[in-house]
Amino acid sequence: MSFVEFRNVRKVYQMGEVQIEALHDVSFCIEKGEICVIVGASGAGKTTLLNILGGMDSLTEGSVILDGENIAGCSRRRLTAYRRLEVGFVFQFYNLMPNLTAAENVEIAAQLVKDPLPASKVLREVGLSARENNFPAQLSGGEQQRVAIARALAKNPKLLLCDEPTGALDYVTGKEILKLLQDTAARTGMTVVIITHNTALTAMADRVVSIKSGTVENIRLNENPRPIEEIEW
Amino acid sequence: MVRSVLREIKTSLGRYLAMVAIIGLGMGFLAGLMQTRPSMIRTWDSYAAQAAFFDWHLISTLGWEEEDCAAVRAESDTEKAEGTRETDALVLPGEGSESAVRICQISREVNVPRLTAGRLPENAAECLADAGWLGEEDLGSRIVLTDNNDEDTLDAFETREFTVVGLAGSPLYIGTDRGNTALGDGTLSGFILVPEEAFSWDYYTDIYLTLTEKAEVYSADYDSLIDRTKDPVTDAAEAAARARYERVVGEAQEKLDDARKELEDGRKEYEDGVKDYEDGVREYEDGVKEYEDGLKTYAEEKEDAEKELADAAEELRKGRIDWMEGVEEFYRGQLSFRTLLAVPDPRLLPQAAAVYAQLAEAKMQLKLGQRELADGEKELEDARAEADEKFADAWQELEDAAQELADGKADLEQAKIDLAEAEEELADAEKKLADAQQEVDDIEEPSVYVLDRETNVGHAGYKSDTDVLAGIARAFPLFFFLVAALVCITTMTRMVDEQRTQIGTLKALGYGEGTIMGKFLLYSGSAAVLGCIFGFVIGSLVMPRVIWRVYGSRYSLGELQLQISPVLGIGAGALYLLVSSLTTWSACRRELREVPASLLRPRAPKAGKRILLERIKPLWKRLPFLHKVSLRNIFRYKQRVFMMVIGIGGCTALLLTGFGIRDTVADIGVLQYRDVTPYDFSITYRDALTAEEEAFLAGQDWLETAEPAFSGNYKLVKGNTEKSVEVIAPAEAIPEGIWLLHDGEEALSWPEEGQALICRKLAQSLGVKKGEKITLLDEDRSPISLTVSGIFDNYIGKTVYVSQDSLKALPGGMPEIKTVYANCAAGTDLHAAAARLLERDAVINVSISADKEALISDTLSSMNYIVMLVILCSGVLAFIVLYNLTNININERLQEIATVKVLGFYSLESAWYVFRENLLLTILGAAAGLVLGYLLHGYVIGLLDLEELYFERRIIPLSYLLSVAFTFVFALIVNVVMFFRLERINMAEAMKAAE
Repeated sequence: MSFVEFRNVRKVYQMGEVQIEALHDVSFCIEKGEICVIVGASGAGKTTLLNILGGMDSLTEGSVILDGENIAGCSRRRLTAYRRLEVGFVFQFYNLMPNLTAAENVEIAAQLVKDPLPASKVLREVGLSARENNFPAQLSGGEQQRVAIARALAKNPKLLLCDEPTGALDYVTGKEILKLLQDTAARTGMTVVIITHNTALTAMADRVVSIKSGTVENIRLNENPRPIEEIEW
Repeated sequence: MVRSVLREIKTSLGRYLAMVAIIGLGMGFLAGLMQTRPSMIRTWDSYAAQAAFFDWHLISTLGWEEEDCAAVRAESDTEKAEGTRETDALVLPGEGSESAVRICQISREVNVPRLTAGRLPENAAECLADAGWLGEEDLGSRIVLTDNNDEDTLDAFETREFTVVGLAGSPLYIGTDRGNTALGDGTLSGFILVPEEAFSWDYYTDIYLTLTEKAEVYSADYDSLIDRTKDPVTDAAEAAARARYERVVGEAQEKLDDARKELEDGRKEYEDGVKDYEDGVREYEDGVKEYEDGLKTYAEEKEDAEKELADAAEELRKGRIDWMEGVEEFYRGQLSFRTLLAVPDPRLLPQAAAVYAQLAEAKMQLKLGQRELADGEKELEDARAEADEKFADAWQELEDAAQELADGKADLEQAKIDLAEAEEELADAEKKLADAQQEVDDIEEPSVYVLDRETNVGHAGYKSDTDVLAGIARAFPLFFFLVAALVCITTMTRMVDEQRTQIGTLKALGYGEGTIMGKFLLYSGSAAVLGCIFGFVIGSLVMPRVIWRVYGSRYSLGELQLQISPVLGIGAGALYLLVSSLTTWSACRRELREVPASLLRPRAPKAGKRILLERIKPLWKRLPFLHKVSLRNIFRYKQRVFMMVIGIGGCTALLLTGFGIRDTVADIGVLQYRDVTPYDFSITYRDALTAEEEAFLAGQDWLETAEPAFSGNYKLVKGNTEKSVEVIAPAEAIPEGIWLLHDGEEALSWPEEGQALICRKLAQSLGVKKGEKITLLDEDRSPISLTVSGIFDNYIGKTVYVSQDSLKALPGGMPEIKTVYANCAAGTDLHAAAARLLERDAVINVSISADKEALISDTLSSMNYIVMLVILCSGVLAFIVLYNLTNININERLQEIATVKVLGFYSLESAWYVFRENLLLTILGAAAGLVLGYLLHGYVIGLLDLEELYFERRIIPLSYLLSVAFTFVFALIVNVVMFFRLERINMAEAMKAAE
């Protein structure tokens, strides 16, 4: 059984009188330990997919099974618990608390779970030992994203969800971040889902799910994912 | 441009409305509170003008007459002057129990009553009743003067029963208090207005007059008008009273003189009577003598007459005997003749013839004699009859005379009694006359009282009530104004921040700074204008009416007449507009200074900073992680913290002020009559206290202490300020439980000669300190210089305590002691005791402290409504401020909160993430508010500067507690509302780019 499994997921937003179908008939699965890239153009339904996958939104039809549990019917509280304990998020705009130092930003997530990894250890792993007492404003974009990744990792999640992790970064820094993600996945065996519009990133994935117009266009398995260094875009 | 603003308003309607609301609230409170007092004053003023409420009230101990009225009316300042009669009486209204009421004459010119139901009386047996005492159901019922009234009161009226034909209010009784009386339980239940003809008195008890010049009630103009007219009116009143005195004495003397003349006449008559009597006696005595003479004469005459008659009878008898002898002789002659004849002897014939002739002669002689005898007999008979008759008549006459004499004697005896009585009567009359003369001589020159409106309880009470409002009206709107300004600043700053990109775009497109700023100015300006209009209209129309519902129910003044001042509205509106524009301008200016390019970039989030608290390692380490976050957030947004603390602090401060006002004011009666002057009552005597009265008091076992002390009104002078004060000078020995004079905790020792203890109010208003010199002036303005030996806590009245030795230095020497302060044994019915004391002629008043305390408490109980109003205001204020700021807080940190939620904070955890700050700020705000409230309370109390009352700043711990508790409740409500808003925050916000 797959770690993540989408079965005929349909999501309809009610906008006043109008119903907008954001997703329909979305089915795919992701195996444990995989790096999965979900790729699609703007408006294809990526964000909705991410929201559902991250337990931030409900679905209209179908089922989503995460590590053997169908979250389609879960209560809000259960979903929160799911986000809290099992998912690590990395946002496009880092979403660090500007008022907390790097270490504290990690800690704010870490204190939510029972056995977090020590903040300093995680920060060392993302290469930011020296900056752990700096505030986000004192860090570069790449460094901030590293802090964000550290924050996600500190919870020791089963699933790492990354929403356009390089979207706000320059090319080189973006690559460094992706490398960090790839290395982390390899080292910890964590399942990583990266959502992006950048098709070039598909090369690094074990599995590529292409989304178009609210449904899965194509699922492709990469036998030999390439290290980030080799990918150019 | 306008369209763009309209669209902006539409999209941010909540924020716009919040701004309109807070400005409207501020404006409403300002307009409402500041216009309430003028409206209330206007209401009373127009009633006073319409009812011709008096300006001066003249009382003379001798009463007044129409002439006096006319004399006062002739004064140039006087418009109208009307004499009226009033007296207190015990009555039994149709239903209900015996009550003491004041019966007044219906006035037509001054203090005209206002008919509220029924009709005016048409005859002396009809009356109007106090609308505050009886209701419409009592129309047609009877009010009976009970037998418990004294003779004088009953005599004052032509009737003992009045039919209630109407209900009325009187400008003399606008409050609920009807005053005190010497009757019944000492309080008046109401008044009754009766027509002039219902009174049997030919004099007036009072004259009320109005002045030609008018000024609004309580205004400075009115005060100066009163100051200016006091002397002429007093002079006129005194002149009239003197004239009345002279008239009264003159008339009495005239009557007395008439009486004296009558008495003199009476005496003359008496003396004549005495003379007559004496004449009568003499006459009687003469009569008696005459009678006795008559009797004698009668007896003599009778004797004489009888003798005469007896003589006559004797003669007659002798005659008859003679006659008989003649007859015998005749017969013998006859016989001899016959014999002669028998012997035919013719010789004898001649003889015989001679004899015959002789016989015939004798016979004739005899017949003659017989006739003579018969005549004599008859004569005698007649004489006897005559004499009998005569003597009978004479006897009768004598008898009559005797009767007459007896009658005369009786008459004389009667006359003697009558005269004795008359003498007695005359003596009585003389004594009465002397008494009357004494009485006339004793008629004292009348005392004249010239009273102004301040002496009217309703008028004075209304003033202090409106003054309290004025104090509050001065302090609170300022506060709301500040808060409204703060809300404007935060809202506009936030709005400009949000529209940063738009500003940049507009600027890049080439719009001028003025145009861009114009938009924001239009936004905030229109909110200010709208808020001001709504606030002013609603505040002006609603607030005075709401307050009036509270106050109006305690005064019978009818509908509130709103006094709306457009100047106030425009002025305050301009101020609000200025503040909102200024805050907008300052918020915009910062942004507009930046170049478009930087504006188009999102503003770098405010850098995090370490806070001071972190330096205190041991403490910081122990704090839970999220608490640290909250603490740091608090110090991150200093402006917002400032706003929150001000807003919440303001709420707490308002609450504390409200509760504090109640604490300070509400217990003033208790403080005064329990802690400062704990005596049960004071007794006032008409004249100096006599040994007899003192002995009476000493003999009452229910009286525990009775302390005679001098009490009088003096002027206290310090520098150029002069205050009327009550001076109390007890005897040497200072009694227990009558006065407790303290300066804070320190008990003060009694002043010695040349020293004075003055109350705090005086010390404060005259700026006198302990050890300084003050001067007391008596009514002749003779000065006594004294050193202030202490300042004592006192709440009601302006009192100075001195030693009697100090007063002896006055030119008039020690003034008379007319007051006794007394304490009763526990359990004594004070009213019954007062009634017992009032029965004594020498006692003119007994003033029970408990009654005064109750009256004061009742008057000040309106404070509770003020406090409620303040709590309501604070609640609204707290809600708007907290809502606004929390809302901005949440809006600004939408992404942060969304992130926290995405990270897996449970609902309550993410709520706490925000609310922990609020809680902390609420604590900080409440703490600041307690300080601020303490200051504001002092300020408001300072504004409540009532002449006769000293408000000691006093806030009880419960008030601090309640203020904080209420603040937290308000904050809690806002946070609960906000919780649901937090719940609705979409986590997808976390994915969006920072604004």
